[in-house]
Amino acid sequence: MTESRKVRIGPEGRTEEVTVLVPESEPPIWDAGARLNVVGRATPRLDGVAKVTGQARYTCDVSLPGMLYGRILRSPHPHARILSIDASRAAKLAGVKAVVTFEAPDFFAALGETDEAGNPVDSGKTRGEAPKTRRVLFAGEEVAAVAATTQEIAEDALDLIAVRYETLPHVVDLEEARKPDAPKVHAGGNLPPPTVREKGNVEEGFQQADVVIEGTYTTPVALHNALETHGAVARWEGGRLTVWASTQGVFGFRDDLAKFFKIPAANVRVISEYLGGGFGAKFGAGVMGVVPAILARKAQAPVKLMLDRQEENLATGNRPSSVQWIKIGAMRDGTLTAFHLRSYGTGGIAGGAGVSGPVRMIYACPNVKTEEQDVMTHAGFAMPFRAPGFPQGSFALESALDEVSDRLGLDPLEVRKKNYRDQPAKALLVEYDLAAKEIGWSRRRAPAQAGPAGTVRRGLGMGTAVWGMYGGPPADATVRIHSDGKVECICGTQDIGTGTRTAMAVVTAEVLGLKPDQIRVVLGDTATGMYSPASGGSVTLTSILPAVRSAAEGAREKLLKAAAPALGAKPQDLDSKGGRIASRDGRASVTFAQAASRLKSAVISAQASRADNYAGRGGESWGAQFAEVEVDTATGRVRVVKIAAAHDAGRTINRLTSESQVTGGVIMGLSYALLEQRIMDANTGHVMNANLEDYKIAGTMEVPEIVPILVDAYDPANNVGVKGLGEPPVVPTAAAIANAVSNALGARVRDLPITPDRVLALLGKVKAT
Amino acid sequence: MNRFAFAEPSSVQAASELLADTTRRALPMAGGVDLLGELKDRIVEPDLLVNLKTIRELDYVRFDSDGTLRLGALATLAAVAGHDRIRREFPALAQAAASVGSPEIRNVGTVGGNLCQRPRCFYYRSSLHRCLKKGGDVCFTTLGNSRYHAILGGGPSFIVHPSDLAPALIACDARVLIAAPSGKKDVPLEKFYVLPSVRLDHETILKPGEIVTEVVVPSASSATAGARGLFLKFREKESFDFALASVAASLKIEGDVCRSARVVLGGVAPVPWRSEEAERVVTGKSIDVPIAVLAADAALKDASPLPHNGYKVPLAKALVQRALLSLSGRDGEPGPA
Repeated sequence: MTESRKVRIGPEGRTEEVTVLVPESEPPIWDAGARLNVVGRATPRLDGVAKVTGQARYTCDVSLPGMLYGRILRSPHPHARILSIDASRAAKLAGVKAVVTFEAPDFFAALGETDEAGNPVDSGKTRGEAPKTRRVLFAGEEVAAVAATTQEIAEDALDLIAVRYETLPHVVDLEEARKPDAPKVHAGGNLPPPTVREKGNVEEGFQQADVVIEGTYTTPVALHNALETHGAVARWEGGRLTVWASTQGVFGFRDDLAKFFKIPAANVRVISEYLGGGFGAKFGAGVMGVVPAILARKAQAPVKLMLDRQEENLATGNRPSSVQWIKIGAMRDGTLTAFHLRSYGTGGIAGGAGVSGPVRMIYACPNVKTEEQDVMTHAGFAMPFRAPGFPQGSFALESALDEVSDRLGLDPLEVRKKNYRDQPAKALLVEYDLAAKEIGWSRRRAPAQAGPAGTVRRGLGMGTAVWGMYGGPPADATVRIHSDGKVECICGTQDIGTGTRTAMAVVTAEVLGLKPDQIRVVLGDTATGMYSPASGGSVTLTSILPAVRSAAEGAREKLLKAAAPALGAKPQDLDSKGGRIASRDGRASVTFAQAASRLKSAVISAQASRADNYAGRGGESWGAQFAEVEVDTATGRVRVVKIAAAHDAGRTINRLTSESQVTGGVIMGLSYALLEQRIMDANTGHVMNANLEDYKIAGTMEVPEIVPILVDAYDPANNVGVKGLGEPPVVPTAAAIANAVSNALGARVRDLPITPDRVLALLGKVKAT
Repeated sequence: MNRFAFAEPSSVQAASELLADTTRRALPMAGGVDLLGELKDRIVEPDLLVNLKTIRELDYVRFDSDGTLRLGALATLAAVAGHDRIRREFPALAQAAASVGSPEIRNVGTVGGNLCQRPRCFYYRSSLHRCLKKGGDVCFTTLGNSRYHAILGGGPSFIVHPSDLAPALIACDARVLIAAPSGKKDVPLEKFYVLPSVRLDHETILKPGEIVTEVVVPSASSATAGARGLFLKFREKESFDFALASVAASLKIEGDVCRSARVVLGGVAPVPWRSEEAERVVTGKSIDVPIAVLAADAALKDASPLPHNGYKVPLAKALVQRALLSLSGRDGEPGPA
């Protein structure tokens, strides 16, 4: 049953009251009017000490009695047919306990392909082709695996596996792959049909425009490079499988294993207590997840298999490249009349190169046409990568908007505001102003003209962040209060590194009137039975925290009931606050632990499930980032001086980890803007920089002053009012930096990363390559 | 990584003899930073590793009474970078040592190892690419990606020498002492390195059994080396990266006239690249912006970029100009770089 309730929405200081329809079972909604004690404050990570002291047990730290070590043999060829595999010598090597070979074309077919949420996707790629032998489609694809008593023996064993390949022509270059006579990756060719969307009529839009600009922008293939590589430890006990895995979705991982081994999901347990990042590359079990379990079953012993950095960078995912042609029409006052985006890019043997999100979502423009195409190449497959498509699309869109602004002689920020997409409770205008003030936007000058303006030039640039509110049911949680006063909050979800564990404690503590460090959080385990979606799409907190809160409210109610008689009050007249249970008039009170000791059972427990999102509420998370850069025109070095990043995530749960999230996103975006690019050798079809030496990631010396500004934008679609913050901070950073560099140089940056050679080319000092 | 025997000799002589035995592939190991990478990537597969770290007497940094600096081959980069008198008298050397890798690498990496390290070229480091330097018949840079490769002295291989210490030491006129089974050698560090047109399988003159034992740097007050030195290293990122280009310069300036100069480039050629052309331009001159520009142009006159590394030419020029102007106290003046 649902009921109408009044809630206050909007950014702080500019709230309004609206009516929402919510399930009757929902507790009072934490809207703009809610006054909270723990939520919204800066709470240190509960597991911070465990992490920095090495006590936290990651997948790689799991060591079981009798455990073997697995290694994978990978194809050295970018395209080849496996004619035969002879693993007999490997199997005979002392210490080798299992060898498996993957020459069957459908060996991993049971895994299928999965989308972000772990649901199977029918790509139709192999349709019309029923080969007897397997084709490997990229250098680094899995061919065989071994398990041995030591890592070294496992490595030696790989050398003893003789694989006969028939090498086939390959193509790894994006432009080459588009040619009609290019070697085909899939039977259907390298160019699946483009995705075309149109709103309004762009041709009419361009006719209305006073100014039309167009340009082509490119972005490289980027690699996730989470600090912790993919890996798992698998153990069979009878027909039951337990896997410790580095995964951002324990439940999806479990379901993939169940499907692959054709056993009930209830017979599979996946544990991921600590996780060293995923960024989208760790959805589902994948080949990487099933191989240790295959080996463990065959060897009848637990198997650990962790990838090394090179494997990680060959075969676990990437952010596709893009070539984006964008055309924008605008009136003299900056009002947009049309966007036309045509793009293509390669995610290797998989799709996912779409980039149109920002063009379609961020600004109010009546006529928008987007045409996007995947290009298949013989390279490792794409996986979702922190805001899939958005950093790429943002770079082209925001660059083109700055070009329009400069052409019209308008302030780029005013042009953004002119085309503001108004929504209830949206805080973006506040964010523009806060971040602009922080960076000193009023200092921005028109782009420097080429000429001797000094060796080092400064520039300012900005961009807008957006991300949808994708969280929702199902998600379940349990809160238990033990008679000794200890509290547990339980949800199977994983903490990908964002601070999920701490956020669960914050919400539980808020409801029970305790401190977050008084809550014991249990997560990262399918055996809890408390479901959570995978941690991707910025959905973790928005999905699980409303369930956590409802569970905590349920437990609180039971506790108050137990405490009421001794306090001579009715349960509804009691409150839990500051570690005490007290009557509202403040006359009678007991400590939380005393109240718990009066329980008639050893434990009380309340379980709750996430309600549907409230209709009409829960718009996008927004943000604005402003960058100041310094460009050395003699060497081409770009140094980012400062980034101001204002973001909202509905109601902020933990200010400290939210700021970390923004800072981390900015660093990742900066690294993408200036440094990162996968380099492939077209002739041999190999990734040349599958390591952290030549695949360059920003380090401490590259990190500028970053000012995260968290804005509360109350817009509750759930009882907590939280929205996603995982992805938005990485969306506009590269765009803001590129705009700042263009502003400094007086020449438009059109390619990422902005490396010294490209800056020197923009200055006319060398030819572009 | 292949299986290998591991020897821990206690003397240079013993190490030299082990390494001289060409019936098996033997390699010396000091800090191991570079070598372990090569072993793990299977670029080298020795039968025997000879650990030099057990030869404790090679780990020293000392000054003779006449001011000559002596660096034992096993002195760590951290010891060089943090040495007060080196920082005072040979700032280019201290700066070069401090610019290497990360604190962890500088704590382990040695002077000898840094001078003898192998190329970082990603084709050389790929076990799947049998390039010229590994006995193959092609330098993949000529067909593939050359963004990090040589613009000077290249051919038939286009690696760049990755050492930061080497340009700085050559700018200081350093010599290197080599122990061989047959006796000792004393060669100018500049002559220690050889171009790929001369030798493909290694970047130095070292033969099996020969071990670098010491680097000798003439007193900072001696005639050939100047008291003013500077090392500038340009890399894509400041946190742990190799040079796209670097320059070590050492100038002796009297009044405002440059009496002698050493200009050595790193990261642009298969060997540390001394530019006598640039040195000639500045010697006898008061170094101002036009002279610095002329010197930089002279240093890069013979540059012959590959398809993807043309940017190294203006970059290296800018570094040469900056180093010369900075050492002349003219770095505040307006100029093209």
